[in-house]
Amino acid sequence: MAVSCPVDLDTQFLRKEVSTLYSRVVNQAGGEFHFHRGPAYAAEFLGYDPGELATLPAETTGAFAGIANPHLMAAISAGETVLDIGSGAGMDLLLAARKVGPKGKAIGVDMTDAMVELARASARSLGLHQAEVRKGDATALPVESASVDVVISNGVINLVPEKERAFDEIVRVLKPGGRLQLGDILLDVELSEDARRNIDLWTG
Amino acid sequence: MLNALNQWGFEEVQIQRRFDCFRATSKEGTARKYGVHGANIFGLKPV
Repeated sequence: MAVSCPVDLDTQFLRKEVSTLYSRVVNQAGGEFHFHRGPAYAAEFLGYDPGELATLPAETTGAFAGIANPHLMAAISAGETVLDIGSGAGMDLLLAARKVGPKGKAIGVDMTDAMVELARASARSLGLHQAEVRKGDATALPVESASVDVVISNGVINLVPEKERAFDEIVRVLKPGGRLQLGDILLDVELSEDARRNIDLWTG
Repeated sequence: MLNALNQWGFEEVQIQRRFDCFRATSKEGTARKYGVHGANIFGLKPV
């Protein structure tokens, strides 16, 4: 299986396009996008608890653009350390922070400034001091090796051109026996080389 | 993706649930063409 980007695709350009797109999700929440966003979508399509989402800041849930639900896979327990790769506006991160409680830690990593600031502000507003948001990307996680019980991510790894590096990093930061609860895109058919070179299919 | 997780040494790799996340979006047709959907994918790092 090909897990990497074609060598002639400009990965820096792709990274910039992705960052620009998700900055727009924060700054133009009501704008037109090719993907769903927001708490009603999360509840109806992805099985999130609408009551739980209603307790989070509307700016955070409104900018949610995940495509699955890592919280349905295995229970996150009090005291665990959770890493959310591509934490975005912070919805999954804040849900995880509540589950790990004050003795645990929920670390979000995102490469988009607007998302980092929004998630930090939301964590502050809820008094979730165990939530911390760091700027970085999936291929160079600013996280200590073998320090994480659970890696979650929601719709992000498919956007990373250098998937080998992303998987290397996930393995590096997880403790032995640690869980990967990955929400991501799957395809039923193998994409052609031409399709994989089409940047619109990467960014949507 | 599942092959990649196995290749990286994860155990108990499984798709736990699939989501029709592009339904009623402008990309629904493309998603149907390529069978694109969201999924919950689980794996354990060996002890």
